[in-house]
Amino acid sequence: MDEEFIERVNMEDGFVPFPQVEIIVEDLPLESKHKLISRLWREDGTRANTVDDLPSQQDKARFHELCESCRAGDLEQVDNMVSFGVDVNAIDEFDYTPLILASLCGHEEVVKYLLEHGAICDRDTFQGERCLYGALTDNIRSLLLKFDISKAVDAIQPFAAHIASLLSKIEPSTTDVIFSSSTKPPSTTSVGSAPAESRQFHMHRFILTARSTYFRENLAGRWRSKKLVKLSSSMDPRAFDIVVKYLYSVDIAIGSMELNDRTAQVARKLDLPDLISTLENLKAEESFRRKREHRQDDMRRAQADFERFVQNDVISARTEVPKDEFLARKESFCTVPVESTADILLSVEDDEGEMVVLYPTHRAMLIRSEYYMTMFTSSFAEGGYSVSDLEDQDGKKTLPIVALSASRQVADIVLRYLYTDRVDIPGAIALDVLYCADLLLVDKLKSLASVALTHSTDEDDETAISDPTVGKHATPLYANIYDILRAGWATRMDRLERFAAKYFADNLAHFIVQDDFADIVLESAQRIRSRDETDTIELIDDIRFYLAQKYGIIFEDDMDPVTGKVQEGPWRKITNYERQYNAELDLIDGLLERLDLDA
Amino acid sequence: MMSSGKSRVKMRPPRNRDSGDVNFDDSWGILSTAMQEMYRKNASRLSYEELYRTAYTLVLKKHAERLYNSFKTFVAQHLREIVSSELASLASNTTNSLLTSTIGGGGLTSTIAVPLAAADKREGGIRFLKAAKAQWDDHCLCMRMISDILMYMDRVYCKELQLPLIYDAGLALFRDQVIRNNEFQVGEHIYAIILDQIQLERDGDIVDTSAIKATVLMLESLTEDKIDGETVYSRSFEPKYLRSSVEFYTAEAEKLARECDSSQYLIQAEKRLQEEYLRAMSYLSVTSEPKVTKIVEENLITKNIVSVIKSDTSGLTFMINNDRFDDLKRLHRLCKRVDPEKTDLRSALMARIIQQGGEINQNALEVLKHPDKSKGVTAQNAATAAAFKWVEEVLGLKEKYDRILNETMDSDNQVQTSLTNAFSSFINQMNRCSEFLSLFIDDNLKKGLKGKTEDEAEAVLDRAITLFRYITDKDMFETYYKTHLAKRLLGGRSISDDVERMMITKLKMEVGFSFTTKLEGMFKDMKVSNDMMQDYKVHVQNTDPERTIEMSVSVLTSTNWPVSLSTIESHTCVYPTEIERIKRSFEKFYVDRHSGRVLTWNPNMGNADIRVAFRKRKHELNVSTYAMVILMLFNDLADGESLTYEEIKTATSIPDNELIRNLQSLAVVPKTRILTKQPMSKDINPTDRFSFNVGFESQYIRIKIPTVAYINKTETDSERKGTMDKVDELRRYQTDAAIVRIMKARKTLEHNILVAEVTGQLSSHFHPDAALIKKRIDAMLEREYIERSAENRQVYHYLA
Repeated sequence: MDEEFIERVNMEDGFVPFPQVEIIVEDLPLESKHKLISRLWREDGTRANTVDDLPSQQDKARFHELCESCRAGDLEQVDNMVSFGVDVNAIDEFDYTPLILASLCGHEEVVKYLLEHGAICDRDTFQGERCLYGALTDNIRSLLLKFDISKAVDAIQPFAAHIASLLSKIEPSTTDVIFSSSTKPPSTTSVGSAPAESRQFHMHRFILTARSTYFRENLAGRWRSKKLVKLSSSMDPRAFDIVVKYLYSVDIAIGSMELNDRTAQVARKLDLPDLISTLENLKAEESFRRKREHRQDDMRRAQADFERFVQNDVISARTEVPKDEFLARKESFCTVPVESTADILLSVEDDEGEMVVLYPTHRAMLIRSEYYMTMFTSSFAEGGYSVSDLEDQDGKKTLPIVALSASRQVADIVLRYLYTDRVDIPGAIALDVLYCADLLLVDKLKSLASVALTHSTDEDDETAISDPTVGKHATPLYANIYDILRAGWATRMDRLERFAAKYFADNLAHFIVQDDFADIVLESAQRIRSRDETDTIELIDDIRFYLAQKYGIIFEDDMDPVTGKVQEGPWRKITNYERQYNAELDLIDGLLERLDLDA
Repeated sequence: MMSSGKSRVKMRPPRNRDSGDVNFDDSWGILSTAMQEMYRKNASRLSYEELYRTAYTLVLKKHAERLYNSFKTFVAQHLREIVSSELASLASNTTNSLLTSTIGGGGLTSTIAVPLAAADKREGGIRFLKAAKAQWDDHCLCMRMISDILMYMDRVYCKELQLPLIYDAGLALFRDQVIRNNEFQVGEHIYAIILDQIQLERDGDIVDTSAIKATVLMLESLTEDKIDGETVYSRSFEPKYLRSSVEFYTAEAEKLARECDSSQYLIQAEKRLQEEYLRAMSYLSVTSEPKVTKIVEENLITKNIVSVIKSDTSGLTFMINNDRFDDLKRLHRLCKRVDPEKTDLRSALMARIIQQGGEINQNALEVLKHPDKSKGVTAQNAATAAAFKWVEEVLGLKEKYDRILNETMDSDNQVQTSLTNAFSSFINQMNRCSEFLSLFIDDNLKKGLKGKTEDEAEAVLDRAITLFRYITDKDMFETYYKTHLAKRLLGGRSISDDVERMMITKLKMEVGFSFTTKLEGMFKDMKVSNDMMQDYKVHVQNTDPERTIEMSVSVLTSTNWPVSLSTIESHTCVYPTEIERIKRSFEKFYVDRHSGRVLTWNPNMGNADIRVAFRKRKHELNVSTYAMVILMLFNDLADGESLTYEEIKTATSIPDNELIRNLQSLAVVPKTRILTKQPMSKDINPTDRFSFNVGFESQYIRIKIPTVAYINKTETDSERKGTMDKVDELRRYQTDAAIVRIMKARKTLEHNILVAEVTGQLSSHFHPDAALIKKRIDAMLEREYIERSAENRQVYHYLA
């Protein structure tokens, strides 16, 4: 493929010369079209993965599910898949991106969601034009046209936004080190530039540690117990400011070439090669799309840094203490090495309740949970903790301890999520994670947990359980189905309620005879009664719905308005499926009669 | 990671989740103790983690309802204790007297009577407000902390059941248990204190506004259940506040009306308005501001403004007469507040202007009737003097009100309209306004503007135009103006052609092209005549070089000029033969050039230069054409012979009125007595005898003998009737023309619409009355320009 052609595809706004594509296909007969386009994009510098390029089998499966959800307009499932980190700009075997599918099928909400989460619709590209061309409604088309990518950047990465916000957040105070620039004008200042003002940078040791080896070493070394670090007088505070912003994952923009060069010098000195390349990119006059990709790269790097950090410095740095010992001498365990960046210890009990696990963590990250945010800004004891209180003696410093009622595995998951936004929840502990996330008021983690809980298990996953009485064909579950439903109710996850109803519907004959099932139907009836006086039982309604779906009963005309059963009329014979459907409805009615319920 | 998971085969029961129950009372014990600690400001010793977890567990175990209710009971109990222990006692200690005096009716006025108690009361009240405020602050702080620990319940239970969130429920409890406590109504106490403070401030005391402000903020943050946007402030306090304001300002209005003159009244009213505004904005609620302002406006302005305006000693008339611009400004400002139309002010202004205008009219008529002889005003120019006086006074009045309008009322459009209406009304009440204005212009154009620069002249004319705008019967003005212009042109009396044209241009700009076509035609006639006389002179030199008599003729298009100049019958005259011969020669000359035209001579407008030999010396006399004809009769007489009036009349056929006028100027006016009359009386009688006064002497060689006719005189009654008739006739034609124009365009029209349209078309010329239009419509029906519709008698059709 020659350069000229790429140019033309880019330059001719919206017009794609199909015949030329054909010719190229002839030239490269072995590649399928989607691979070809993928190549074309890559050479153009745009990231476009075909599904084959995705790293793991799991990613592929998730991408397919994402595509399927975009076709169906299932926003919740789209949300789930995007939460797993599926690349929203990948293309499938038929050259579709999720955005094109959603646009083509007319799901405006999904289109909006995808755009807000990084899907690109660029008129200058083949896929972008195709997406516009295929938009089912004018609303979607104008949505695609007017969408301002620059505003979406922060929404893509709530994680990066949080790190960036820490730079300016005042309440609660979480910074623990100050870098102060000298008042003397830097000697390297060229003639004509204004002398730089003296500035103080309030920062977090753990962020610096996570993001830069240079800072990690120095903070653990010569700056170990310093509260205030003086920058050398040759350091231009404006250049340092840019470095700080980069470390805090703030989108940086540089005014002058000179400042850019000076920042590059600082970056070299502080050993930040990625910042140097970022600065190089800034220098180049680039298209908006390219800039955005660089920005995303930066954020991904930051995320990777934090993934390493949470693994090495938080999760692996936990300590275990026998519970009785901990209760007896709590004070003696609330110390960490003085070079630790942590400012609070999180204590959980392990499963058997014999050991207490202490995680050295950071309030700055915990406050992503509203629970912790409230805790640290409140007037209660925890709100009084501040960085300056940390005592420092014998190479140890004393930290406050905050308990979390969760198992160690759950705590791992929660911390990983709070520090990085990325987490894989094993189905076996998903229920516990769900309850814990509910306690901590972290909605996103809740929905990730419920997805994990209801996602089909792999056959060989030993942690899954299957109820031998349900029958071999029943999907094995990660938890008791009654627990799942009750968890759905308790944590207000509709997804779980629907999942349970479908599960009951699929195995109705099995459950209808169980006392537990009768109990839970009663419980559902009571839930309704306590809300308002309608005569429906949500669970039963849901089960009926899924029964109809199971037997393919879709026409309301066929159903008896009172009983919901399929009628045998003069014009039609009742089918076998319909007979089964009617029989199962009878089962439910029988149960309700026994329970003396009216639905 | 899942080291323990693999070993398990059986379903893992959730740990202590749904199975184990929790003891509500134990948990609630922990929470309620904590809440007590919070009220004691010991929160920093409590563990948030523990309290949150306790509350969370209760909610998860479905004890949310009990928890919610226990919370409410606890807080309510606590608040009741505070009221009885802290606030009630404080109130009874310090403000007992206040309560009895203010709540027990009539307290508002009686407080003034006890000045000594004021300071005590003020401090006691403020102390109470501060105490209540302190409790409120504590409560808010505690509610924030409690809602922090009960956050999970807020999220799950309150939201789902749409109950008030913990914090809001806490505030509602404060409202019900403190402000509206059954045993001790803290609220009522607070309201009374604030009202009392306001009363003190209104009476001129200085009060602690910050404490009141804080209390008001508290009342405003307490919302009412189930009523959107309503707060304790707006439901409970504000009505009381407004009621007390009404009471105060009713009394205040009476007091001010009794004690102040209009100027003081306005100052006080404005001051009160400003005070109330500042009060509402600084320590009451912004939402109360419009309401209380309305009360002040209602009582201080609306109720009394008419008597303020009408006050004989200091009202509007006084302010205008004495140029009290500040007062007028204030008056306008206040009127505008209560009534965007400013009806009262405007009608008062109009009445005043019409009254003053009426006086001006009266004055002018007085001058006309009783000319001030001592100042040399003769009956003849009395009219000019009256016109001058009238115009100047009207313009003076106009300028005064313009200044008032611009300097005190922000050039208010509505007021301006009223002024215009008022001026228009009294100017048109003066039935001679058109004549007076025309006279004013005439006089200025003849002598007033002599020696003035163009700009000055223009300024005078502009003033005249200002007045002209008010005149409704513009056709009447046109008639007068035409007459005066004709006389100026023919008599050569105008000081400058340029100024004349300037005036015409101005008129044209005011009322349009059609109004001035005839006036312009008059100018054109004069120019054409001049040119023609050049030709005629050449013609005479060629055909009759011997001629000694020079003649100059102005040929006037009869339609352009005032009707009185062109009617034949009234201007008969037998010319002396030599004159007659020249006249014929000109007629021949003219008809040769313009065949088919008829020339009618108007000797009454002409004049002649003649040389007369008296005993002492020869004099050149400038006399009217008639006078020349009369004098030439005496050429044929010997010295000492005389002619009677009758003989002169027979010989010349000059109409009586002209003859009398000319004989008067020749024989009666002492300085120009060319003829002597027997007997020597002022009046001319048919039996009088006239002889040539050979002994006439004068220091000047050239003498102008003015004819009475050429002195500006107002019309006699009959003449004016003639003018009116002419105007009426013209109006008939114009109305006819308008009817035909409209019907031709519209073909079919209903009576009322036709009348309206005709009125619209004519109003730029005069104000047509309906009767006239109706009459003309009938005439047009008769003459079959239009016909009545067969179906509807009210509808007319145009007949082509």
